[in-house]
Amino acid sequence: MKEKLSTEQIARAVHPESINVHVPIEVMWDSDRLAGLKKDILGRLGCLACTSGFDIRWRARRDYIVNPSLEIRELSEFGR
Amino acid sequence: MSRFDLGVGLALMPGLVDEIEAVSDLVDCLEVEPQTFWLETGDPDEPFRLERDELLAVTRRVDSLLAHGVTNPVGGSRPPSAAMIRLFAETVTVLDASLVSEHLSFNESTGWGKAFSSAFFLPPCQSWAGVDAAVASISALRGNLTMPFSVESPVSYLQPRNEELPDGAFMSEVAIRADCGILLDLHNIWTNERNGRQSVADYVAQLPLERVWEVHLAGGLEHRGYWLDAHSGMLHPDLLRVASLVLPQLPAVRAVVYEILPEFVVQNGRNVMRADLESLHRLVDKCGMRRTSATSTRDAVPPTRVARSSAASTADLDPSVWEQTLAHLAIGRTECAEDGGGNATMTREMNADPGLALIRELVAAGRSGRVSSSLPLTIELLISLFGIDEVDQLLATYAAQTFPGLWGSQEGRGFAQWARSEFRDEPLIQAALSLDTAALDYLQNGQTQSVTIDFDPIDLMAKIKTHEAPNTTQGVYCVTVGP
Repeated sequence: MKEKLSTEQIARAVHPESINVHVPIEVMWDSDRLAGLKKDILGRLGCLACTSGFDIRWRARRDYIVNPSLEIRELSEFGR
Repeated sequence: MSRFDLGVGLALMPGLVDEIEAVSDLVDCLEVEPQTFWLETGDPDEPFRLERDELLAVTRRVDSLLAHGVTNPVGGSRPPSAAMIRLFAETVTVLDASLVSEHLSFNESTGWGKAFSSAFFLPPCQSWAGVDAAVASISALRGNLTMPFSVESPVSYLQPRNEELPDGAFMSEVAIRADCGILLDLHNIWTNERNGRQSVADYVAQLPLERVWEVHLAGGLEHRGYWLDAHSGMLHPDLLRVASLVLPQLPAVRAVVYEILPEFVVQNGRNVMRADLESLHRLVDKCGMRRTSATSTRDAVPPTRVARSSAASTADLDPSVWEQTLAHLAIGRTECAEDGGGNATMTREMNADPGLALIRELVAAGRSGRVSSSLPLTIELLISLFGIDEVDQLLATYAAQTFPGLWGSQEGRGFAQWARSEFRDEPLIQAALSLDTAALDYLQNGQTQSVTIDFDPIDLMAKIKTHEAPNTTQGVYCVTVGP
């Protein structure tokens, strides 16, 4: 009888030397607010409420990176 | 049902649930935005599912609930899909909503042989054919709902056109012909006035006021010479003055609802929300007792309606052409697709309207917000590798080459697909994309996901956080992502 292999089983077969790691979603997405994760997911993956206004999420992130506490923080220095 | 019987409400979305407690003494009703409690399923027949537990937790908060749709606008010629209509009906039924509403805007059109979303509410075609299209869309979404159904006055950043029906007259004709209510968003029409469209006074004068069952108020902000419907908190004193003049004229208004986005509550603080809600209570207390003489006059004498035959030039505006042209331009295309049916003259005129650049900026901001929220590891890594300005440019390039996704998960997958090709020789970026999309899959279908990547995921995630990603430990790692 043929049995369908899971993606994980296939990966192990192809890479027997692979190291198995389980990552909980809360850890992966760095939700410091673990208690609010479910609502956070709705906000991340669902539909934003106001779709005739200004989605400031990217802009706020950008502003924070450039100036988290009135100090200029050059992230490019971490890059290439 | 009586005037102001639903009192002062708060527009609720998942990100505001934790904020309700702090203002519960000021919130008589909650207005739930159904689609903010939906997630994609990946099933083409039933593409979305309701996060029922999350929604039910909300219903226990207050006695009165309203439902306000935010993705199936009814101001265009393309009615919502049957699956969307079904889930909308299911959600408002779970809520047992006292009032149900959607926007008199559009957010979908066609081109390149397929339908696409603008992922942003665009102003409707204000012609007689546009009225007919909106009436048909309202009928489709309303379906068999037994609750009172209203359409919301839209915001438009475009300049008024001679051949259009005036804003108030268009709303009036739609509401009367569809036999539905009006959700009068005073911030929207005040925004329109500030940006060069019809005045609030003229708009209100054209409405059948007995059909205004709900009012929205919100804060906005100035941006590039325009007033934005940003839902950013801090009700403007001038808007409150306008509201104090309009509310007494509304004989059948049941609720005044305050809108603020969670991001602005975080940014501006909870005190802003509390102060605004207190302002609305004072307003309702004052206006609830006072009805102007204009109201009683208007009860007896309805506003003069625009005669269909007297505005022959509006017949030239075809809603499908309007929608195709504007939707293409809004998402950043310079012209309509050949099969899009857009009109060259209209394309030229819209391109000349300075409001179009603002709309494009807002559409792009929405796309960037959705990508950065739904692919957090990837975006953080890209910022680490290239710097914020270059990631800005990457997002712009992605947007120019692809269609928007209205949902965070759609836009995230769209960017992931684009970035896989763009960075095919960058194993670190490929690894981050694999982890993020595995997370998306898990969150959508609840099944633990497995991916194989060339880097230690724990080390990778830690270094992304501290912006040290290039030195991540290598190897073959079979990663499962789940609870």
